[in-house]
Amino acid sequence: MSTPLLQVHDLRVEYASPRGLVRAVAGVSLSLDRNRILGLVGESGCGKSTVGQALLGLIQPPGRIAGGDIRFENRSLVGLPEREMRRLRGNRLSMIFQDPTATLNPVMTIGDQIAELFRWHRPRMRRKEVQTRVTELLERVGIVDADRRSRAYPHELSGGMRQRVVIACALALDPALIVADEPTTALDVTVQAQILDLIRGLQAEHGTAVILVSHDLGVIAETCDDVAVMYAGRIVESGPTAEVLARPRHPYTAGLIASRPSITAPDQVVRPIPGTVPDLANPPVGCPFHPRCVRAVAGCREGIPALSPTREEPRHAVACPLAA
Amino acid sequence: MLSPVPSLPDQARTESPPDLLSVKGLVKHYALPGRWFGRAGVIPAVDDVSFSIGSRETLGLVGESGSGKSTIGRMIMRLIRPTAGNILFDGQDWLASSGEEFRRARRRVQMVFQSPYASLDPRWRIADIVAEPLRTHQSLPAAELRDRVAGLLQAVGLDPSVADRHPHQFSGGQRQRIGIARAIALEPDLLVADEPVSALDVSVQAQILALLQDIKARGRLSMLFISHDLSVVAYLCDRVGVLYRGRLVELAGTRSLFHAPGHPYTRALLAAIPGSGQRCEASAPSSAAVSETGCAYASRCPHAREPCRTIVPALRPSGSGALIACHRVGEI
Ligand SMILES: Nc1ncnc2c1ncn2[C@@H]1O[C@H](COP(=O)(O)OP(=O)(O)O)[C@@H](O)[C@H]1O
Ligand SMILES: Nc1ncnc2c1ncn2[C@@H]1O[C@H](COP(=O)(O)OP(=O)(O)O)[C@@H](O)[C@H]1O
Ligand code: SF4
Ligand SMILES: [Mg+2]
Ligand SMILES: [Mg+2]
Repeated sequence: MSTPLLQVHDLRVEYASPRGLVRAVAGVSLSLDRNRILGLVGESGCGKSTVGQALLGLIQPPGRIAGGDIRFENRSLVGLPEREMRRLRGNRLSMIFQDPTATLNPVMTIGDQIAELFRWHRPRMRRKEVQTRVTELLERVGIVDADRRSRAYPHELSGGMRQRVVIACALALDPALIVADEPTTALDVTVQAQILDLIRGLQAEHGTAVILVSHDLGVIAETCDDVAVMYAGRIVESGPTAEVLARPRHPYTAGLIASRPSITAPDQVVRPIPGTVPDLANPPVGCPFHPRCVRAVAGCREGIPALSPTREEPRHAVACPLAA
Repeated sequence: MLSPVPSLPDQARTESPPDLLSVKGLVKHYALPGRWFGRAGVIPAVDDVSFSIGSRETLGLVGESGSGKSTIGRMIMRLIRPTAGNILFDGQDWLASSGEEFRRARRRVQMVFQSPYASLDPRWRIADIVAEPLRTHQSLPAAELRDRVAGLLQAVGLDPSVADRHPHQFSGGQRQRIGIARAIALEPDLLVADEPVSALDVSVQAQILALLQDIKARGRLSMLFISHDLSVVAYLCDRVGVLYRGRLVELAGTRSLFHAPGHPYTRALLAAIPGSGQRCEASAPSSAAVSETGCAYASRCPHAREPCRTIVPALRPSGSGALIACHRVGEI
């Protein structure tokens, strides 16, 4: 078996803050093969975006990578000089953020913004070819009349259209991995469905690996092959999406599923998880979920449970001794 | 701008007890920035909307952003004035009432806002925030006021000991509970809730949904529940109105709407819900301006035919009991 495209081992990221050290990512390990979509799901503040930014080498002070390793295409990204990281970014790895307006330059036409990527990373490409590629890319992300639209400024486009442009930028240089951080959270549900279709299509056609960060289990269910559920800076459950959602083992995953009213069974009562997510500057000792957990026993306050494979399905892993 | 056909035929009204709230032909136009003459100079944010809410009933309003949901809520709260149309509250002309009469009626309609951060004054103590409507409308002895506040905090699942603290010491979900405690302080008959759980995390969202359901079960409260989230609406509402570009395109019982959506836009919305297992049938929302005439959905609708582009479809009862504004209902 070949080595996975991406292997993250015991990644730790901290932010210095007036409230103390925020351990935003507290030992995350995961691996991802080419041609797969991995969902990273959890409620706000659990460290999803921080994981994504760490993969792209975007952690800035007051944040720092405090430990662990990120191996991508057989080389370690932690400690890579910024010059080399910049060459990888956009090229082999790229990112799609939640808010397309923050990513796009408001005073440049969308065509020029994409062309800029080629001029920067492929300086020897001919002008004519750049133009062709820009049009192709816009068509690929479903923008009709691409030639004309490439002369539009971001504010002349709808939110969904802008997000398509952002995706075109992320794709421009054929990266091996795209990290999409809540790419549809700001969009209406019908537009969201189209963007998710687009992301799935790219992976199917080009074998691009995708990490899709979302707080929405429905989005994950619809889009991802595998899922990792994060809570308080750690992965508490992971495995094939269908398996994890049909047979959640961790009480947090089960709680998240029970919290959402179901459109197909609206009579089913929602069962909230009591309490709120912990402050990562001052996390609970032991299992980080124990103060909210209905199944907690005295032992849950002692060690931090490790993510271990379940007996029935080794790809399905859970960080709860009561559930394994 | 008004549809050429009467918007709500009288046979659509049943013989049931009088509605608590009844909205008829509501219109709100905003001036388009930068252009100030001609017919093209206005945004019809709300265009000839009619519905009613019965006693103890929860009506949901759904639709994509910009469809006019908040504008309707704000007109009912009298935060903005409609361009046309009228609102009856408990049989009285709600927009005409003023002075003492309005003040008395006003306490019967309360609002819960989307942002639990922006809607609470950070300088106030929780006790004062919750007590404010009671102070304005009733003069209670201090001890009784304290007891009422403690009771309200308990009713929304907060410990009465939080009364002396300030909003910044609370999480989003806790702030939303405080906002709800304040809104139910005067035991209103109607609660207008505009996206009250949209800013909250999933697990906290469920806590607030359970709380709203509990309040509904205990009292005789009616609710207008505005949300872009159809699962939440399916869970909480008795009937649902679907808005598209300021127009009500479907109004139906929740069960019927979700099992047998009649309007092409409602179908597209349901199919787009992640996890619904269906695929979207609508084409991309075009940024092109909607035509001035005809069905507002015609440019996206896979079923659009000749009359769709020229005649505005009126909201009419369909066979299933739902009200649907589509020329092709029954054929598609
Ligand atoms: N620049 C920063 N400075 C200080 N703390 C931060 C910063 N960015 C994120 N955090 C903290 O790190 C934790 C994880 O944040 P984030 O990765 O954004 O979570 P998510 O994307 O899951 O919502 C949170 O507690 C957040 O407050
Ligand atoms: N104060 C205002 N001035 C001008 N246009 C407005 C104003 N408020 C809302 N609108 C417009 O009215 C339409 C409906 O808005 P809104 O009621 O907020 O929709 P929703 O709550 O469904 O997202 C939108 O096109 C919006 O841009
Ligand atoms: S009236 Fe015509 S365009 Fe409008 S929804 Fe019905 S079929 Fe589609
Ligand atoms: Mg995030
Ligand atoms: Mg709104």
